[in-house]
Amino acid sequence: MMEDSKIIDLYWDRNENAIAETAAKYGKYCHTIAFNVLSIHEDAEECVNDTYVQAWNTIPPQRPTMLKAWLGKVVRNMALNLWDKNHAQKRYQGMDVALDELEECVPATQTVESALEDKELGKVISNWLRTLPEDDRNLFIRRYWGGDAVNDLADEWGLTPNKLAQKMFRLRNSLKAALEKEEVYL
Amino acid sequence: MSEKGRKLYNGITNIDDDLIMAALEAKPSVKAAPVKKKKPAMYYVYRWGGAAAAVIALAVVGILVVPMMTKNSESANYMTDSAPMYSTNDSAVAEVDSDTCENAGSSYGIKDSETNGIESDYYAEETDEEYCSEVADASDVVLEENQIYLDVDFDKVEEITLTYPGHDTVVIETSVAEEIVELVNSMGILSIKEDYQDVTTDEYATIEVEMVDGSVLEITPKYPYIFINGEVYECEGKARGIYNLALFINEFCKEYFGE
Repeated sequence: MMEDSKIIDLYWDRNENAIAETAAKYGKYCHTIAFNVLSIHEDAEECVNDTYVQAWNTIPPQRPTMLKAWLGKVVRNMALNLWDKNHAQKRYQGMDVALDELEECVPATQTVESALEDKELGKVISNWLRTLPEDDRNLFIRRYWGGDAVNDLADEWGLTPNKLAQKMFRLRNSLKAALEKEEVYL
Repeated sequence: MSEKGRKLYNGITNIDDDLIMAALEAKPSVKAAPVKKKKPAMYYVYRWGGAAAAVIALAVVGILVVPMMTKNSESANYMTDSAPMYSTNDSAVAEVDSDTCENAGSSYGIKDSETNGIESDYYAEETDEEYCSEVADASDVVLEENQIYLDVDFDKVEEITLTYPGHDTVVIETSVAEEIVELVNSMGILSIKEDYQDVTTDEYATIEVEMVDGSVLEITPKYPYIFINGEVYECEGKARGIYNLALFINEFCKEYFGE
């Protein structure tokens, strides 16, 4: 497998092999993250392809220091957006069409301000994560960032699913307390 | 996904790269063997109590009644005299539930088809202490004021009956009951979020029961609604019963998962 720095160089050189190398090294990883959100392989694949496009469009000017994490964030965002879209269509099919039409009249929801908010919130959560024992920290990220299933994590950690879920429950309470302490109200 | 949930998701998406990388490449430091928890005794009483009682009854019939039927002219008198040995409710209950009074209490949960799930004699007239005193040492099982039993047929769920001393019986019907029982049966209930001891009917409080699959059962004592996986069900003003269901679930969890 090609080193990350060389893959990024390919993007900077506008060499289309960049996408092929990305897919070879991180295709399965990206697909897993998307699938954990969407549960449909075709939709996950669509997100993965969109992620490659996003990478092509944003590198350069960006030069991710950790390509794997960067790709994970992009594909996760893509998957969540698609999840939102599909979910709304299934639940509110009739109304959704009308709202879609109206939506064209309002500014984009992801404003510069809200993007900053997400980043600020990410920083608060990161700080909180750093206060946790390593195992707990990794567990939280695998579950809520990577979307890994409770049963899979329990298996890996050698816990019963119930015990693991109990642990996650405590972690979420801890996060809630941390957010309140930082006066972050969503 | 709610707006709040989405915001939090976005925030989590933006956690620091080094944390993500560490988590993706991490192996758990301690790996203990999974432990399979023993199901509480009451589960088996619920689940198999009826079948066990039927088997015992058949055995009694086989051992006592059939031989008597084959006897000669004295058989009629013999049957009359002996009938109380195997046919009264008291003696049967005492035999089945001699181990602990707790099991005896749990056995109320076996649904009685003739009374639609409610053993009316007990619920209407006897206190738990009185009942327990008949079958075992009552000092082991003295119900707290708000302690309740969940009365449900685990094979054919149509309703849940909640009963607790000093209050009317509450019956929750149809899909709400089914979903709650599914939750209880799944053994995936983990904990009660709020300190339920402090909850009174005069103040707003929500009790959350976290499930193994991440779904949340929210119970709001003051209002007659129950929230299951984001869906709202109205419980016809039986909020107090719902609150007590939470107590039951909590006790059930304590028994199953330990303190």
